[in-house]
Amino acid sequence: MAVSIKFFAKRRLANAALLLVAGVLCVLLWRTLEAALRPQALYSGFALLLLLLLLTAFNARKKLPFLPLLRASHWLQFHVYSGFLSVLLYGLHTEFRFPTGTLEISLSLLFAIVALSGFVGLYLSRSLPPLMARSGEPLTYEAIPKFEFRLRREAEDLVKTAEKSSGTSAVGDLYMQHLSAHFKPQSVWAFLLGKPKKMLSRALENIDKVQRYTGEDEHEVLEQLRACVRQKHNLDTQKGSQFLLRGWLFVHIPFTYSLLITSFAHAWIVLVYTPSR
Amino acid sequence: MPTELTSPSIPQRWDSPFDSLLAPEIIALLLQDAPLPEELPDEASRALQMLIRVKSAPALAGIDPTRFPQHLPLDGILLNDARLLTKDINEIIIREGDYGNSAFVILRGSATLIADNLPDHLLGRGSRERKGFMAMVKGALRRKGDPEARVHHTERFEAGSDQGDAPSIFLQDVPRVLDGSRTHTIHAGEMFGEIAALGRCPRNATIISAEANTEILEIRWQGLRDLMSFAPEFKEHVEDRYRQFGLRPLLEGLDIIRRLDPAHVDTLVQETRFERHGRFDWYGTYQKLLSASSAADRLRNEPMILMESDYINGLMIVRGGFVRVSHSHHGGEKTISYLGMGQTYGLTEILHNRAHPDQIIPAQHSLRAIGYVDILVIPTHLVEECIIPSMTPSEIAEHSRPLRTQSETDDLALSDHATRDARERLGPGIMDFLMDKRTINGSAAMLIDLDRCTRCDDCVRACASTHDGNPRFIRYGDHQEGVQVAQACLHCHDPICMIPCPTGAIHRKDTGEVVINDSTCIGCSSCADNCPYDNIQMVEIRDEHGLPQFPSHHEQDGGRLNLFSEGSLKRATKCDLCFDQKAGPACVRACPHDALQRFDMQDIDSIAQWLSR
Repeated sequence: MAVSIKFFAKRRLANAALLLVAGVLCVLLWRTLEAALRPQALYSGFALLLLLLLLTAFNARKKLPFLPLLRASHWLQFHVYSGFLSVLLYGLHTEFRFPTGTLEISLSLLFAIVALSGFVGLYLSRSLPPLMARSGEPLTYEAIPKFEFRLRREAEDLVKTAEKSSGTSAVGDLYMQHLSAHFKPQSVWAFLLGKPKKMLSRALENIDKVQRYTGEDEHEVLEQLRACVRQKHNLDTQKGSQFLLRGWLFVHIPFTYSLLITSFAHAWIVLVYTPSR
Repeated sequence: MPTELTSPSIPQRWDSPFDSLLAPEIIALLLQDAPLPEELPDEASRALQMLIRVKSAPALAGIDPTRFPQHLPLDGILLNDARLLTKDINEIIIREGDYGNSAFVILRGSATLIADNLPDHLLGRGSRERKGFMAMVKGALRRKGDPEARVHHTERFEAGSDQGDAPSIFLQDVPRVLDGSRTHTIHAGEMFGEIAALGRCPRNATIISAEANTEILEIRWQGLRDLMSFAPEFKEHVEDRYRQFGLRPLLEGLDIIRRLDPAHVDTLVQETRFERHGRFDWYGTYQKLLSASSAADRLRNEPMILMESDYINGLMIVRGGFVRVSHSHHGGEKTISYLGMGQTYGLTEILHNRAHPDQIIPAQHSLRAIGYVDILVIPTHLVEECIIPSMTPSEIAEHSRPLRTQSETDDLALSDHATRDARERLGPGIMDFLMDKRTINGSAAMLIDLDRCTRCDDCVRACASTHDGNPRFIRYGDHQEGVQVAQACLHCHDPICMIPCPTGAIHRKDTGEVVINDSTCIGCSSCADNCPYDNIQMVEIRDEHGLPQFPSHHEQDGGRLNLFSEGSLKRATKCDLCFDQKAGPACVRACPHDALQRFDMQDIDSIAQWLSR
């Protein structure tokens, strides 16, 4: 049976092949410069600086959507694979040794933060959207607190209605002891630790436990509470995912600019203090 | 005894006569059962004379008024849904490429039909202007603080507009145009424009007034529809004209007919049957239907065109609207595709039955009208006699694919493995969703792949950047199986938003984008009300200082400036597909994750392949 390779897989393969070729070329060039007793650190440094500028240009392209400057998706592909290449280039430039001195340590730290945050961002960008797409209604991040509040009020109203109609406190006790925490806004750390999933199954279990002791009228309310619990789980997933998808950029972008400034300072110092041959 | 409930606030069919100069009370006076008083108001006398003349025009003369129901009398239709226009010599009556909602009957004078395509500047259309580089940079640097700020705005229509106020456009350079073009004279009594009005397709010719003071009766489509329903002679007249002028180009545009000799095409033109299914004004009721009924109920409400297992009587060609193609599946109905204008159904079965006369098979799918559908049917015997003999072996092989009953394939037009895989990803869930929501009407629908969208809103920001800081869509909308249809104008194949626009401000560019001319929009919101997808927004416009703008009042208003009595000025806004941008839609180009794309929804295979990347 013929297996057709899909577009993204094809693109990934092509880009990875290009990256491999570029990486091999960089190493070969490094070796050639080394053999020719040329200042390979200087060349690799400028190549790295140029690459950093090109990587940063992606952000500038986003600010100029009206200019016919290729699609942002092409820029992202370049950004991702050049990012990988820059790690190799950085390794060659530093000759894969630990940094010494304040400027070198600062530069290496900044580079590590930018590169790592980039990898994390790439992973988040590819893994979280399918999770959000399957968790329920897509929501706008800014509107989530409003929905959280509404849902909590809806759940509380349901509980009050059940208590009034049945005259017992079974549903009220369930809510106070086991569900009220679920309806509170969750922190992003809770999402990272997988808490919403655990809370969802625990809340549903608790509703099941109470159901056997309640009457027909309360069963209906419990069913509605189950729906609310599931909706809250979707809200937590959307909120946590969207927070992370936005949050990593708050690390990546400021540190990129810091890296760029420090790199320019480094280049200036090198140019000023390198003795001419 | 229960009192009859009346709700005066609910708009009635004839609340606003087409002729804004004719008051509803005058029409009511003329339509009353009792004999007319001897002393009639001037307006009524004029309308009465017009009515007598109109009814004697050849296109309308044979109509029997007794066939019309009491609540919808012929005179009522003519008085409410028609109006008299007077055109000067060389004044354009209809322009090729424009979407029209009415037909015309010449009462006095004559008109010239120009069959050739004319350049936009001769037709009074502005050329397609794309922003230059500096204009784009300036736009980006401009202060973005005030939403919907307009530096210049025209007050041309703001004091209240009616349909009669539409500006006159004259054909430029007439002697040279007429000299070099194919023309045809339309005489008094003849009708034109009904094909585009009833088919909601663009006008295919330009018609200008050939004489000074040419008197023309314009009938809006609602009136045309009713005349067609209750006057078979009128329907026959319209269909004859369609057969004469509209059918041949449509048939000749089909691949399987293109190679036929003219005599065979003539036969097909003569023998083709017309069928109409569903409601022409489906958009008025469809949202209610959507919210009120289940998927199965919705399917039951769609008029059946052809039932699975019925014998196929002919080759069906969709002339207008959309058709749902489905087949029975575990006691329910599984939607597998849809057909749009120019697409056909039935050839596979006819080819099979011709090749295997001992194994006659019925229709393999059910066809239902989604909203409103116009169908042309070429009888089976003519398909066998005229069309099949001219088909190439490869065409026959393509259309003779194993049918569903013989193999398990559900697809209508599969070409390769990749397409088949892609169609599987699309699945009946998404197909039903696109049809239920009528997204299939879109020629540039914005689809978002939620499996890839990181909700970064770069698309919204890019849209705002290219529209002076005002985004023209909302990254929100109905979704199904990871596909979201964002709230952005679909640039419909059947742009029903254009129907009620009194000034023609909302119009279709020659390149297909449906756009709003900000300087002629009067803010009446009829397009926004008519858009079934809620993709047109009414916005309060502001001046360069960020202050709301109000209508100007003239001296005759008593000099009193009560700014707040009428509210601030509003404009309709929507996605314009960045028609003035060099690089195309900014939203698509701004998405870094390949999650957003604009699609012609008739191209199902492209959508399927996009989703199965």
